[in-house]
Amino acid sequence: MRIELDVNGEQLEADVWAGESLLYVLRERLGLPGSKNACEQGECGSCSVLLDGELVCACLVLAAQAEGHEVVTVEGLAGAEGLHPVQAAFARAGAVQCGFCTPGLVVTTAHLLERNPDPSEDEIREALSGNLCRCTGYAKIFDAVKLAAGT
Amino acid sequence: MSAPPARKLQLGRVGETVQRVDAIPKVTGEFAFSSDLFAAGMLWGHTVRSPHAHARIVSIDISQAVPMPGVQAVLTHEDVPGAKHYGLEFPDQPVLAIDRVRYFGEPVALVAAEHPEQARRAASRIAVEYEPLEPIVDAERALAQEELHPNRPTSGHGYREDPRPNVVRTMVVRHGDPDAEGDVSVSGVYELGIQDQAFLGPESGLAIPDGEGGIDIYVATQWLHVDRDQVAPCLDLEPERVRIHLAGVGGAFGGREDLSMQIHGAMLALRTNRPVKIVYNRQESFVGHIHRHPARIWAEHRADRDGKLKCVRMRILLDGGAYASSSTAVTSNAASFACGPYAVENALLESTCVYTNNPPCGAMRGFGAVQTCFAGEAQMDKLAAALGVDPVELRLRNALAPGDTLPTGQKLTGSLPVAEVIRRCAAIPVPEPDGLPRDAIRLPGGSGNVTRGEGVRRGVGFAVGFKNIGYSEGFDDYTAARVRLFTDRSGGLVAEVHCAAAEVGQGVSNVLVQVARTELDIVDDVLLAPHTTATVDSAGSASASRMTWMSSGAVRLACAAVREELDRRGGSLDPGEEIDIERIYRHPRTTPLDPETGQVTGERAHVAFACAAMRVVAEVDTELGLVRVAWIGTAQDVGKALNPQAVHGQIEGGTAQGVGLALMEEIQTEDGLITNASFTDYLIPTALDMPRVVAELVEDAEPDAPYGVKGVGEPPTVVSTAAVVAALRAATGRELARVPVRPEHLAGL
Amino acid sequence: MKFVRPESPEAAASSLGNGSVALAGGTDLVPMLRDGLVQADELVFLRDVVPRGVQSGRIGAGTTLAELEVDPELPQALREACAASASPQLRSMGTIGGNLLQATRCWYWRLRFPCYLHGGDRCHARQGTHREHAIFGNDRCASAHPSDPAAALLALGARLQTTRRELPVADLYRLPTEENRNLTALERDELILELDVPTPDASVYLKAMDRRAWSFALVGVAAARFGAETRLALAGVAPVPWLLENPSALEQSTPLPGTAYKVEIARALVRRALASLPTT
Repeated sequence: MRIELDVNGEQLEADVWAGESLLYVLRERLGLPGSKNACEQGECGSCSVLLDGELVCACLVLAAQAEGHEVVTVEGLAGAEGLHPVQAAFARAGAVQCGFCTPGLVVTTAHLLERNPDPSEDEIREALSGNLCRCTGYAKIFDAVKLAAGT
Repeated sequence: MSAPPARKLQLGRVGETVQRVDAIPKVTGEFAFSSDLFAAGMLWGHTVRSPHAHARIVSIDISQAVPMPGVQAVLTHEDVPGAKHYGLEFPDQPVLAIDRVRYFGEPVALVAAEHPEQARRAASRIAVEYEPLEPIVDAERALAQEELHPNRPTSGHGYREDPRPNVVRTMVVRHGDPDAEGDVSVSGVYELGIQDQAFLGPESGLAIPDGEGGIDIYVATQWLHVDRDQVAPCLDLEPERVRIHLAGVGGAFGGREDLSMQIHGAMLALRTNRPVKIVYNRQESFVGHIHRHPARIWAEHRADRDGKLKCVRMRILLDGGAYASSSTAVTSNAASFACGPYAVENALLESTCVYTNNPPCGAMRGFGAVQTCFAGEAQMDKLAAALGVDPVELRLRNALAPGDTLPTGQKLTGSLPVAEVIRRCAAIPVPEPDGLPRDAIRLPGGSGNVTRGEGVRRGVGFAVGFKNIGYSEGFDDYTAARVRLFTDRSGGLVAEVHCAAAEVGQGVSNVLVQVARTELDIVDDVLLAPHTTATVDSAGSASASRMTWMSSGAVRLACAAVREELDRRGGSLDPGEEIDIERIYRHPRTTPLDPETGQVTGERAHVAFACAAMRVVAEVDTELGLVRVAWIGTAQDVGKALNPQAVHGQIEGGTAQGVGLALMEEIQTEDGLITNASFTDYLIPTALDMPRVVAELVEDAEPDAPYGVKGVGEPPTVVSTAAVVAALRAATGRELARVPVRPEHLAGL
Repeated sequence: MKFVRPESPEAAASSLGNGSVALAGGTDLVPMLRDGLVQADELVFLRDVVPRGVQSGRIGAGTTLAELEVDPELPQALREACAASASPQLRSMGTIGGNLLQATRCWYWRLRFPCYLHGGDRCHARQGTHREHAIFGNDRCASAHPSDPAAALLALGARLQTTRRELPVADLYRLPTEENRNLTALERDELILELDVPTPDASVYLKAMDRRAWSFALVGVAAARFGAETRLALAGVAPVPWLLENPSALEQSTPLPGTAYKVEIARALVRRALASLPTT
C-alpha cells in the first residue's frame, strides 16, 4: 500500500507492507536511519520519535497508523543554525558513548524540555525512564539535560 | 577549490577532556552503526537456529524454502566452502551445525532474500528434523556425564591435566602452605547467575563481494584481525581477500569478541554475488552471543586475630556452556584474582570451567574477576564481623603494596595503589540520609509509589576489587599503528592515523587523536582513517582494559618514527610528498602459569593490574524487598586519565552494569532454553535505578605504560556488584550469597 | 496482511474474527504479531471509530494512558495506575481499552509452549520458573494478569459499554475452563467503547516491581473507598485482575512455591493502601 507521511516537515511517500512499522519505513524506505532498532518491541526507547508532538516508540506504530500525522525524528531536530540545544548539550556533557541510545534520548529530552523547561533531577529520571542506556550509567545524560535546560 | 569539511575535529592533547570525535554524528543520527548500513542491490540474510539445547540433526530439508518469494539463497553446513569449524581460541564451533546442536539458538541454516520478512518466512519453511537429546545443564553433574566434545579441543595446550568429562580448563594456584591455619575461619558458598552484555546495537553487518572471489565485511566487532583470521579459512580464502571494516558499534562489553554474522553474511554474499545484510533482532541477540559465566564458589578465609589474612581457599566452578570461546582465559582469571587485592602468604585456588548445553559463555567486562570479587568481598566482610574489625580497616591491613608477591608468585613491580584507593574512597563524604517524609520516587519502589518510608532501612557497603590489565600467560599481544604525514591542499601539515583499534563506545578514537596531537604537535590537523584490516596490522582486541594502553603505545611509536623521518628531510614536506610509517607496540612479555602450581614461570604472567574501591548506600523496603541504590562513591586506580570526562563515563557505566548484576539481571534458562530473551524479562537498570557516582581518580603512573596509563573499563564492574550486595546485607542482616538479589530474597523481615 | 479503516464501531466489530484483528494503540498487539502469537490477515484500525476522551466520568476506550494519567477529574487510583504502567512512550500510544485486554507476560505462553492457555493440558509454569506468576485462581493456569489500570477499575467498580452490552469490568474477565481457555468474556465481534468510572471518596494504587520503573507488577494493589465500603483489587496475582473481598482473603491465597513471597508483598501493600486512604 502507498502511504503519505509528514516527516520532519516534509511530505513523503512510501510503498509499504501493512505490517511494516513506522520505524522500519523511516529507516529502510525513507532514508532516515537515525531512529534505532535496539529491540523493536517497545522496550528500550531507542526508536523514540514524536507523533503529533507526542513521544512514541516508532517500532510499535504501524506505518499505516502514522499516515495523516506529523512525525519528527532525530534528523528533524537540528535547525538552520545548527544543532538543537539538546544535541549540543549531549555532545558537550559526555553523554554519548556508543551512541545507540542517543537519538532516542535526544528526542525524549527535547520533548521533556518543551513541556517542562526546568525539570528537577527526579523529573528528568522519570521522563527518561523509558529509554535504556547500557554504556553511560545515565549520570552524564542527566548533566546533558540540565545543560540543555539552561540554554 | 572546495571548502573544508563543515565539521572540524575538536583536538586536544593527552590529559584533557576532549569532546568525542564522533559526538556530532551520533547526536544528529547520522553516525552509521552496523545496522544502518545500506548497499545497492542488498539482500537480507536470516539465520535459522536450533530450538533445542541438545539434539541430533537427523535431516535438513530446504526444498520448501528455496522457491519462496524473494529468496536468493538457502545454505547449510554443506555450503561452507572451507573449514567447518571456527572459534576465538579453539575451533570447536561449527559455522553451521552439522550433525548435532549443542545449545538453544545454535545456527543451523541461512537464508538470503530481497526483504527481511521474506527471509523470515522462508526460514520458517526450512524443515530440520531433530532427535532431542538429554541436555547437560548442571555444571557439577557435567563432570560425570557424556562428553559434549569427545575430541577435547582444549587439551594439549599446556593446561593442567584434568581428565574429567566436559572440562574446558582447570587451573590450580598453590601458594605457600594451603593448609595454614589462622585464629579465625569463615566460609561460604556463593553463586552468580548468567549476566548478559545487553549492548543496545544488535549484531549486524554487511558483506559485499568484491567481484573477484574476495569479500569486504562491515561489522560491529571488537577485534578486526582475529575476525578475519577466523573467517578466511572457513571461506577457503587467503586472509588478504577477506577485509574486515569496522562499522559503528552499539556497545560491546565482551559480547562481540566472538563472531556473529561475519561468516554467515560472507557465505550468502559470495553465493549470490550480492551484498548481504544481516541484523539480529533482540531475542536473537540474546541467544546469539556468549554471556558472562555463571559461577558457584566455595570459599574459606582464615585470618589471625589481628586481621591479617593467613590463608585463602577457594574453589570456583564456571558453567561455560556449549563452546569454549574465551573460557580458558576466564578460568585463569578467576583463580588469579580470587584472593582480591590483598597480601596472602598461603592460598589454594582452584577454578574449573565445564562444557554444558547451557548458553555458551565467554568474555564480559570483568572476565572472571567479577565472580571472585563477589565471593571474596563477602568473605572479607564475614571476617571483619568475626574479628570485630571495621570492614574498611580490615582491607587496609591486608592491602597489597608494591614489592608484594601475588598468590601466583608474581612480584608487584608496577603500580597498584590499593591502600591509597581504599583511603581515598573511604574519605569521600557520605551524604546524610534523605529525610522523611519524601517523595515516593526517592524511596525504594520508585515510580510504584509504594512507601512513604515505612519499613525502609539503610545500609552501607564497601568493597575493593582488582584485575589484570591486558592479555596474559604468554599471549603475544601487540598493536599496530600507522601514521601518514602529508601536506593538504591548503598547505597544512596533516597526520592521518590508521589503527584498527575498535571504537565500541569507550572512546578509543579520541585516544588515538589525542595521542597523535600530543606527539606530533607540529601538525595542523589529525585525521582518523577508517578502522580496517586492509590498511594496517592488528590492533588486538578492545577488551581486557588494554586498548588505551596498547594503542597509545603504538601511535606514539609511529609518531616518533614519523617525526624522526621528518627531521631527516629537513622538517617540512613538499606538496605531494608524504611520510608513511607503521609501527608495532608490545607490552612487557608474560609467560604462562605453571599447570601444576599456578605459579609464574617467568617474571610475570599478567602485564599490570588496576584496582578500585567502592562504597554504596542502599535503602531497602524490608516489607516489600524493594531496593533503592541511593549513593555510590568510588576511587579508582587509573594510572593516568587521558580524557577525564571519558574516564568518568567508563566508571559510571561500568558501575551500572554491576548494579544490574546485583539487583536484576539474570538470563533464565530451562533445560538449556533461554526463557527471558527480551528487555521485558531481562531487566537492565533504567534512569531511575542508577544514582550519581562520585568518583575519585587515583593517578599512580604505571611504569611500563605510555603516559603511565591503565585501562579503566573493567574495575568498576568488578567491584560494584560486591559493594551493592554488601550494602543490602548491612541493611537487612541477610547473608545474600547469590546474585541477582530479588525482592523475594529481601521481603518479609 | 491488509490494513482497513472501518466507518463505524458496529462495522468494526462485525468485521472482526476469521483473521481480522482489532488494532488500537498497537503496543500489545504489534509485538504479538511479530512473534507469531497472533495471526492476522486484516488489521481493523479503531482509532477513528472508538470513542476517545473523557466526558463527565465516561472514558472513551480509545483514550490513551498518557491522557488518563493527567486528567484531574479521574480517581487517583486510575491516574496512578496509568502513570505506573509501562513507559512514557508506551503510554502515549496504549489505549485503556487495549490495556484491559492485554495478554499475559508468562514466558511459557509467550514462547508458545503447548500450555493450558494455548489449548494444552498442563501449566508449564507450575513445574518451571514461576516467580512472576499467580497466588490466586491458579489451579489450572498460573499466569499473572499484567494490567495496572484493570485492577484500579475493578476496585472502582467501573462498568464497560461494548457494542453489544453493558457490564461491570469484573465480568470482562474469567478464569480459563476446560471448554474455554479465554481469559476475557468478550465475543469475537464485540468491541469495548466506553468505560463508566464511579467517583470514590478516596483511592490509591501501589505497585511493587523488580526495578524502580518500567516493569510489570510483581503485585499491584488498588484501593477505593466509597463511604464505609473499601474495595481492593490486585494486579499480578492471578490470571485475571483479582478482587480481594477483604485483607484477610489473602490467607486464602494458593501460592506456588516460587510465588509465596507475593503474599507477603500483597499483605504489606494492602495495609499501606488502606492506611493511605483518608478516613473521612
